[in-house]
Amino acid sequence: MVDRRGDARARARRVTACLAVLLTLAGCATSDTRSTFHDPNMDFSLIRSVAVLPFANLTTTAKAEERVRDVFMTMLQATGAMYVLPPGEVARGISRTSLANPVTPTAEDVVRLAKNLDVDVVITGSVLEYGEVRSASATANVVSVSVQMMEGQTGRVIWSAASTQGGIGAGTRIFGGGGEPMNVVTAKAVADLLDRLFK
Amino acid sequence: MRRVGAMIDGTGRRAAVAAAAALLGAVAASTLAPAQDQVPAAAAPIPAAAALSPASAMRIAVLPFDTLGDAAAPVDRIRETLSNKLADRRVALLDDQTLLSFMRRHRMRYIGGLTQEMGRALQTETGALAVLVTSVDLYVEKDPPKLALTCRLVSAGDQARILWMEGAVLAGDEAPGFLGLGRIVDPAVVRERVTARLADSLARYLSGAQGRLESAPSRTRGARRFRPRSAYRSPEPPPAGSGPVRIAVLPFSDESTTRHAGEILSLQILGSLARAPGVEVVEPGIVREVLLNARLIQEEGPSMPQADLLRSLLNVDVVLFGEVTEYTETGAGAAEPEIDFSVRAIDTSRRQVIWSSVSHGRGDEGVVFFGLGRVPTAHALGREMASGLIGELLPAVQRAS
Repeated sequence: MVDRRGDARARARRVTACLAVLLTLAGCATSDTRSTFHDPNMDFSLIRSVAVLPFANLTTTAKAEERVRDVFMTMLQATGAMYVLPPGEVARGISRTSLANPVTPTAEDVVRLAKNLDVDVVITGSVLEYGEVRSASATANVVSVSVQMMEGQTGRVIWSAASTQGGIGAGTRIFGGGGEPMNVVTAKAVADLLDRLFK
Repeated sequence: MRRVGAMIDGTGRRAAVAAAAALLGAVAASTLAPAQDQVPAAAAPIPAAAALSPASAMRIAVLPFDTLGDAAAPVDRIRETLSNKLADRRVALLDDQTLLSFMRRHRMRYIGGLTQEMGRALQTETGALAVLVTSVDLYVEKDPPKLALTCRLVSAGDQARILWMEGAVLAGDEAPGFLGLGRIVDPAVVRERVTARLADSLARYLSGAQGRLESAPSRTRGARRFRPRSAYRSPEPPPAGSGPVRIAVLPFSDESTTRHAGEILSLQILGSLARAPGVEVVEPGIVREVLLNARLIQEEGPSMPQADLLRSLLNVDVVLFGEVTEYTETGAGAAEPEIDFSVRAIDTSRRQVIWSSVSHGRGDEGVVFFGLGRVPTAHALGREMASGLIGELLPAVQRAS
C-alpha cells in the first residue's frame, strides 16, 4: 500500500517537472509576429495575372529589393496559380503610365497601371531587413519583407502580409555558426508569404 | 579465455586495418578525383587519320581573344598556344597577317562574336569558312594559377551559325594528389593543358568523331546537383513546327561585384543550349548587332513589344534573359566559389513567359567527405549550374513532336 502511494507521488512530481520544463521552453521561444490581412469579400481564385512592382529598399544593402523581388516573382509564378508579368513588361507599363513613384503607388496609379498592363492585381513590397545580424559572438542572416496586393479595378488593398526569417536562434547562440545562407533565408521568407496568400 | 581474448584482439586489429585502408582509399579518391567534374568531355588526342578527314580542311580564322576576367591576361600568348595546338592537330588556320589586315580594312573592333555582314565579308575576302571566338574568363598567374577559356566555332558566310562550343578551366590546386604532388604552380603548364583540351575537342568535332550532343550537359551528376532552386515551367509546350527552335540569349544584367559576370554566365548558358538537341542558338554577335541597331535597352529584360521586335528581326521563337546577383570567385577573401542568378524565357509567338527560375550554388555544396566533388572555381560552378538549368528548361522550349 505504502509503495503504491509513494509511486503515485513520484509520478506526480515527474509530470510537474516536465510541465515546468515545457512552460520554460515555451517562454524562451521567439515570437513570430505574423500579420496577414485577407479581404473577406475578394475571391482570390479569380486572379489570373499579376504585375509585381519594384520593391522599396529600407535596408543599407544595395540591390536587396531587386534580389527579393526576383525570388518573389519566380516563386509566385512557380505556384502556377497566376501569371506573373515579366519585369521588362512591368517597367514598360510604369514608363507609359508615367508613375512618379512606382514603389508606393496611389490607388489611382494602380488602376491606371493595371489597365495599361491588362492585369488583375498589382503587388508592391518593402524589404525591411536584409543582411547579417550580430549578437555577442553569434552571427546570422535575416530577411524581413512586407507585401501588399491591390485590386486592379479599384486600387484597394486586398491582401497584405509580412514575414521575417532567419536571425539568431537558440542553436546559433549555443553552438555558434553563421546561420543559414542569405538565399535560403530569402526563399523561406517568400515561401512563408506565399503560404499565407494561398491559405 | 586467452583464445577468446586473442580472437577479439585479432578481430579488432582486422577492423582497424580495414578502417585505415578505407580512410586511405577515401583520401586518395578525394585527392585524385575532383578534377573529373570540371574537365570537359574532350580529353584524348585524336588519331592522325581522323585529323586528315575532309571536314578538318575547313579554314578557321582565330579571332583575337576577348578578356572577361578581372586580371589582365596575356591573351596573345594564350592565343598563340591554342593556335599552335590546333596546328599540331592539323586544323587549317587562316594566317594572322591576312586576318589582321581584314580586321583593319573593315574596322572590326568587336571580337566577342561575329556579325552576319562581317562573316560574309570574311568568307569572300579570305576564304575562311569559320571563325573561332574565344574569351578568357578567368586568369590568375600567382600560385595557384588558374585559367578558364570559352571557345565557339561560328560559320562564316551567309549564315553565322554556332557549330561547336566548349569551355575549359583548370586551377593549379584542384587535384593536389598525395602530399600535394599533383599541384601545379607554373601558369605555363595550366595554359598548355587548358588549350590542349580545347584543341582536342575542336579537332574531334572537325574530324566528325564528336557530334554536338556528345557532351550534352544535362546528364552529368554535377548538373543534377546544381539544378535551379525554384522554377516555373509553362505546362504548354511550344507550338509544333518544322525545324529546331531558335533561341536568342540576351546579355545577362550584372548586379554582382565581379566584372563581366553577366557575360561569362550567359556564355555558359549559351554553350549548354548549343549542345542541346532540337535547339538552334543565335550567334551572340548577331544578337548584339540587332540590339544596337534597334536601340533596344533592356535593363530589366525585354518587354513584349521588344520581344516582338526581336522575333521579327532575328526570327527567334524564344528569347532568354537573366540577371546575375552574385558571382564570387575563390581567392581574395572567399574560400568557396558562389553564384546566384535568375533566368526567364519568353515564347515570342505566344507572348508569354514560359520559364522563370532562380539558381544558387556553392562550390562545396553537397560535399561531405574529403572535398570529394568540390567545384574549385566559379567558372566550373557556372558550367555545372548552366547544365542543370538547361536540363530543366529544355522541355519548356522544345517543340511537341
